[in-house]
Parts: sequence; structure tokens; C-alpha cells
Amino acid sequence: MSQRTRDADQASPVATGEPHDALVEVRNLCKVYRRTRGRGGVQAVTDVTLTIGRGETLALVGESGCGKSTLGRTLLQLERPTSGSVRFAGTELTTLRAADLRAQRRHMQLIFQDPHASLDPRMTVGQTINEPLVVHRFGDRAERRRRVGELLERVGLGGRASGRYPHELSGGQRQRVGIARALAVNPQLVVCDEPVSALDVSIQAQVLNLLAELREAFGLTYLFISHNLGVVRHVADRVAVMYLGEIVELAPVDELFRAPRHPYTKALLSAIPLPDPSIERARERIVLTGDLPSPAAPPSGCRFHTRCPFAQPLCAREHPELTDAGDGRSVACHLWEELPPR
Amino acid sequence: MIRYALNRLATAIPTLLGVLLVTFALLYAMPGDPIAHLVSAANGITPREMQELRGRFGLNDPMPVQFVHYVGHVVHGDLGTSILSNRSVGSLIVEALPNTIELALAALAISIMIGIPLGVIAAIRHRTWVDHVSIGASLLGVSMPEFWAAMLAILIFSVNLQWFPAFGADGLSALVLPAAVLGIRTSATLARVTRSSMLEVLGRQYVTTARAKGLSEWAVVMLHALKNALIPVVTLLGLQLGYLLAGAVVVETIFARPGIGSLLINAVLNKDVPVLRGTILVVAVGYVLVNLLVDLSYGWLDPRIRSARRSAA
Amino acid sequence: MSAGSVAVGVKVAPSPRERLTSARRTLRELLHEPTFAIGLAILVVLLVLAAFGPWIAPHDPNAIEPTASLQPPSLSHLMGTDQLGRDVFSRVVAGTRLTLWIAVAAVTISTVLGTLLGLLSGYLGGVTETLIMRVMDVQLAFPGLIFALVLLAVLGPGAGSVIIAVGIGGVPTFARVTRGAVLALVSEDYITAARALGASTTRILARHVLPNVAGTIIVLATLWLAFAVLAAAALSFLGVGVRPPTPEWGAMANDGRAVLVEGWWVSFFPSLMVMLFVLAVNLAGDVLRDRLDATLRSRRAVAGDPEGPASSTEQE
Repeated sequence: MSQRTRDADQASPVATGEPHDALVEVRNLCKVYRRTRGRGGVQAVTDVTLTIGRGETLALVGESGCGKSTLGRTLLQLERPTSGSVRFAGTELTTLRAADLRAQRRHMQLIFQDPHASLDPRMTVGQTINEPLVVHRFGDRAERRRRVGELLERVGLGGRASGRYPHELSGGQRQRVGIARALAVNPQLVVCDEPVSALDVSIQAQVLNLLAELREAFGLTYLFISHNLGVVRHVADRVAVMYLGEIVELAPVDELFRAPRHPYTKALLSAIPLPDPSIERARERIVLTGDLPSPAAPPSGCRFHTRCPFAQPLCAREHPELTDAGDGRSVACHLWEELPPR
Repeated sequence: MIRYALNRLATAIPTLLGVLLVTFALLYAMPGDPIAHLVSAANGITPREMQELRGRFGLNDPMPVQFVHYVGHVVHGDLGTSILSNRSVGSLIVEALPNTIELALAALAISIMIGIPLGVIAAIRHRTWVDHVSIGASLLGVSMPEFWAAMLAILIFSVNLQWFPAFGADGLSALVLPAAVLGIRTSATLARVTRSSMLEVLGRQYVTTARAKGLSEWAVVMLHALKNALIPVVTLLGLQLGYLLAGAVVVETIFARPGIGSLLINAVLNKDVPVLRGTILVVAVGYVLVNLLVDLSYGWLDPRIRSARRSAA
Repeated sequence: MSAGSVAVGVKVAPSPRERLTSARRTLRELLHEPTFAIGLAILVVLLVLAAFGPWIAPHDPNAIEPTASLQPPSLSHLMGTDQLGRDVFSRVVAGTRLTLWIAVAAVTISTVLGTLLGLLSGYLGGVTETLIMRVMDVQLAFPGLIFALVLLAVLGPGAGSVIIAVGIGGVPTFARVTRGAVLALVSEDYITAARALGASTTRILARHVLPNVAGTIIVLATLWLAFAVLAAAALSFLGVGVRPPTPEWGAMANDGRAVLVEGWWVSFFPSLMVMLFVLAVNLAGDVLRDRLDATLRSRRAVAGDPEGPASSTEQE
């Protein structure tokens, strides 16, 4: 897509290969859930640093439980960060007063994974989409009603859906309502938390197309969270791979798929089935051993070392930091240079 | 389990403190001069004597100091002196308490003996006339005001049939009617809860498994269903104690039984504040402790709590 | 995907008339339950008595006639007369208004205060929750009637005092139940969505939390009417609530205590009325509660299916 190539041309590699015109800057973000009783806590997000450029789609991928949803929510301050900073268009979010934060929210919205749970069962579609307009004092009643109608048309539902209740709609339709709601006050950033995972495959494509269309039309910036690499390939400009609360690799999408550097990324990619059965059969897969460690007790050194087929003693001792790997990429692995490219 | 127990204890302590605070503050909440509530002949004494009395009772000290003194007195068993009878509140309570405990236990025993079997049978004979009658009776039992049940009982069983005495607390025969009346609502509630609990348990899978193993109907009921069905019932018993204590007020009044209930109502009617304070303190503390015990035994009964590391609170 | 092409599969919004008929349908379904119908019928009768009492009562409830003292039920005195010659039936009818009023007012206090405390403690959590719940615990340490007794000792007798005493007595139960209901939905995505929109806490509580817990609260309030009436009647019976000569069912039952043997009807009928009211509330309330459980369960079943009921006509 033209968007992606444009970015690759413009991006001058800053320390971790980030784009210039940053909309969101996350620095050393940590989220720890403390145990209510006893010691220790779950380290859901550990020391995450990344930047999202204006107009780009950054994908955040990883297995369930790796902390990607938590990262998305913590970024939006829906969960209070344990430490770290999040700057949105230059404004530091973590120190904002409650009222200011609420006002800021019109610029950054969220689309949820479960389309049914994210809609208030007692509100009609129209009321749901109208709410952000009311909260942020958009126009008068007539203007709001017009806007709701506009938004419904834009997401492909038609104005007559306005009086329906969520339980009368299908999953795909509900998700469209969620999208309309998120767009109501013209946000700049939309965090999509697994927006199509709960939908039937045939509907997924339609919703993804809608998201892409909307991005073009409104110049939106997406943080696209998903565990499905196949989906990510089609929508993302850059991809960040997460494992146990940390970013282990960050790269433009084509580069990532062509030549993954981190062993975990390699394993993830090798798990995607290919359509051609003969190639599929001939492929050598990287199969991970062992179970996902508990985020409450992450392994020492490199968190991935317990399952990494290339692990060395160094990996258990020292924690690898995200380092610049050229071409706008970064990897958190001691051995990335030695490993074969695929 | 230990963790659970400690947690429950930790919750009980602020509650007890709160209770003490409330009974302490009651002296000041009552309309009129606090001195009038502490000393019987407080009308018609000179202002100077009043001042001296205030000093003697420590009413001029700052509030926190007074509270500490109050707690100190309470802990030593000194609950003040009744304005009406000039006897120590403590002795009045000690006299009255056994009667009420006797009444409450008898009522509880009756409710358990009637309510639980009724509930079990209704559940086993689900949807038959037995079930419907039991539901109807429970509904009536729960809707009936105690004072009415008491008066009807007196009319029918005392006056007409002359089976039991209507007044006093002498001996077992005087206990029957009051206990029965007090136990009606609890029986009805127990029957309802036991029935629904049993119905739920009887439908569960491990019961079906037991039946499949070929055990007789009785064995299935007794061994597997009842034990698990009783868990919510045990919780209920703790709550019912509160109801029984409250109901005792009405029952003891109608049947002219000396007890905490009649002590309390007389204190209210006569504005005998020391007795009022002392009585509700004893009742509240007792209630909190019994509930604590019930909670702990609940934790022991339900193996999920016993082995879990998290508290059920 | 352009604007007009995809209205297919989305049904037309229900007209206001359609929505009214669905509410009417719910009521009709409820009425088909015999227990609910009976309960409601009794309540309607009592309401009529309360509203039109002065026109229905054959005699003046307060008219003392010593010559007609303690007459058993007859055609002229349907429920007999008391020791002062007053017509019991008229007094019972007059008492309906007062008793109903006390019960409703008390339950209203419990509902409003209790729900507010429950919302705050459930949604805000933290210190607020702990503080509120501890205070509720202290109040609950004093068994129901006893707590009301103490309040009445402080407030003095009278209908207003009874309303306050019984009303406040119910607050902890409402607070706990509301808090429980709130906790159940505070982690739902649509609450997070409302926060993500930038809605204020007040708005979230009022627009999202409250409507979704309202059902539970309504059921509790209905059933609590039963407790309120029993408590008010018992307190008046004991002499600390509504005092004679005001006609109130509990106070009237107390009047009849002295003449229990010679004139059983003086206590019997007022007490019977109490029981009828409580029975009616329990009948209707039980059905309401069962229905609410069923609705919650079916809505969850629909929710669990991500494609929902309209998927077969879906033509996206």
C-alpha cells in the first residue's frame, strides 16, 4: 500500500527506528497488578517503549496473556500505569487531572473485542453513539441526531438501526456500532483491541475493510492489537511483537514477514498455515516447547529463554534490551545477528 | 482456612468498636440532659448538685476521654445502674439473658425440626400436592405477624384448650407456646431455603452419578444431597438469630416472660437509658460473635473455602 | 461499501406503539401467573380502601360509643366494636391509609439511601467502599427491630418516627444488594467503554450502572414492603410507634390485647389485614423475582452467541 512505502521513505531511524511525526510516545511503561494479599504481582506490561506515528497503523501481536490488551488500555490510561510515561500529541497523560484526562479522551478511542459486552444492553444504538457527542458537548440535539445518522451510514448500518437494541443485532453489526461510537467525536487515535477476533471469518473481512476505509477517509492512527498474524499482515504498517509483557521485536510489516529476527517471531510466523499444501508440507516449522510461563513469575534474563530453541547460557543471565537492527527495526535478543534470517 | 479465619476476625473488630461507639453516643442522642439519663432523681436538684453530678460521672471530660472510660467500664462488666430499679444493669441482664437464650434455642430447635424435614420432603416430592401445601404453609408462616400468632396461640391453646400457660416462665410448659410462635417464621424460611437448596442439589451431576451407581433413593438423598444442601442453610441460621432476638421482644412482651426482650421494651417505654444502652450492647456484641462463629463454621463446612488461599469475604 | 446499500438485514426500528405493547405483554404474562394475580388483586383492594376510606367506612372511626362496647361482628358492625364502642371495620379501613403510607415511605427511604450507598461503594471501591460497608456492618450488628427500637427511643413515638426508624433500618440491606449488583457489572466492557469516552463518574453511575441494577432493586423494594409493614405494626403494637387513638393496625391489635378473651375480634381483624398485605406483597414479589432471574438468564444466553439472533437474516 502506498501508505507503507511512504513511511519507509520518510522514517529516519531514531534510536529504535521510529517515525518522525509521533502522535503517541510511550516511554518505559509498566503495569503491575499487585496481589491483594501477599507479595509479588503480575507484571502485565514491563518497560515498554514505542512510538506511534501520525496516520500509521501499528500492530501489536502476541499470544493470549502476553499483555497486549493491557498495554492498549494502560496507554489510554483506562488502567493507571504503575510507572512510565505516555505522551499524546505532546501532552503527558499520566499526570493529567481527572477532568483534563476526560477531555483529552475525545482524541483517543477504543474498539473492543467483544461486540456484545461493549454495548450497554439498555441503550439503543442511537443512544450509544450519541453518548460521546453529549459528553463532549457536540452541537445541539438536532446536530447530534444528524451526526448519529451520518455515522451509522458511514459504518454501513443505515439510519434505521438507531432505535434497535444490541441484542437485536448480529455480532458484526454490533461491532460496527462500536466503531461508529469510537469515531463520533473525530478522534485521532483509535486503539483496536482484537476488533475481529470474536466475529465469523466472513464478517471479519468486511469489518477490516471498513476499518481500512475509515482510516483513509479520516486520517486515523491505529494501534491494532491482534493475535492473528494473517490479519495483521493486511492492515499494519509496522508490527510490534510482545512476549510476556515485553516488546521483543519491532519492524515494518513487510520486513517482519520477510525476515523475522527474534526467535519468538520466527516461531509465530512458522505457525501460520500456508494455503499451498505442498509448500506447507515441505516447510520446516519451529515448534516451541514448554508452556507459557506465568506473568507473575517471569523467567530470569531473557523471558523467552525457557522456550527458545536457540537459547544460550547468556540468555538466562542477562536481559536483552531492544536494540536497533537497521532498516527501522529493533530486536530484543542477544543472538539476533547470528541467527539465520528465516 | 487460617487466613480466612483471621480475615473474618479482622472484620469483626472494627464492627465491635463501632457498636461500642454507638452505645456510647446513645447517651447524648437521647433527648434531654444526659445527667437525667444516668441518675434517677435528677429532677428537682439544684444546679450546683447537677454540676457536681456531672463531674462525678465524668460528663465534663472531652469526648474521647469519656469514650475510653466507657469502654473501660464495659470491659470490666460495669454497665451502669438502672434508673428505674436502682439495680446494676449487669445484674438485670444476667438475670434476663438465660430466659431469652432458652427461648431462642427452643425456637431454633423447633424450626429445625419442622422446617428442614418439610423442605426436604417438599423437594423430593416436587410438584406434588405435598410440595404445594408446603409452599403455601411457608408463605403463610412468613407473612404472619408474630403478635397475631402469639395471640391466636394464647386464645386457642391456653384459654380454650388449656394445654399451656399463657404467662410467665415457669418450667417447660411455659416455654412451649412462646417458642413455637417465635419459631414459625424461622421454620417457614428454613423450609423454603432447604427446599430450593435441595432442588438445586438434586439436579446436579454428582447426584445423577450417585443414582447411576445404583444407590437407593434414600441413600442418595442422605449421603450426597443433604450435606451439600445444608451449606446455605447453615449461613441462614446465623441470620435467623438476629430475627429471633428481635422477635423475642414481641413474644416476651405478649407472654409476659422476663427476658432481654421485655427488659429492652420496658427500658424504651420508661426511658431507662442505662438499661437500654447496656442491653443493646450485650445483644449486638453477642450477635456479632455468633455470626463470626457461623462464618468460621461455614468456612470449615465448605471445602472450597477450607483449602482456598483467598478469603470468601 | 457505500451508504445506502446495506440496510438489508437490519429490521426497522420499533415504533413507540410496538414498545408499549411489549411492556403490556410483560404485564399480561405476569398476570397469567395465578400467584401474581392474587397478590396484585389484594393490593389493589387495599389501595382502594386507602384512597376511598372515608367514603367506604360506614361509621366514624373515632366515634366513641360506650353503650355499644365490645359487640361481636354483625351486619351493622362487620368486624364488631372495640371496648370504646368504636366500629372496628371503620377503624381498619382508616388504618389502611396510614399503614400503607408508612410502609411505602419507609421503603422509599431505604431504597434511595441504600441504593446510593451501594452505587458509591460498589463503583468507587477503595476507602469509600470499606468505610461505607463498615458502617453498614455496625448497623447490622443490631438486629432489625432492636435497631428500630433504639431509634424510636431517640425520636419519640409517632408515624414520622416509625417511617424514619424502619426506613433507616432497611438501608444496609439495600446497600449490600446494590453493591453486589454493581460489582457484577463494573468489569463489563460497556462500563469501560463509557470511561473511555470520557464520561464522568456521575454520568456512568446514572446512565449505565443504575439502569442495569434497577431490576434487582425493584424486586428487593417490593419484597421489603413486607418487612416494613410487619416492623411498623410490631413497633406500634409494642407501644413505641404509632400511638392510639390514631388508627393503625398494629396499635389497634395492641388495644385488643386487654380484651383478648371477651373480644377477640378487636385484635383479630387488624392483624389479619397486616397478614393479607404482607401475603399479597410476598406473592407478587416472588413472581417478580423469578421473572427477573429468568430475564437475566435469557439475556445472557443471547449475549453469549456473538452472531446473535438476527444472523440468519444477515446480509452484510
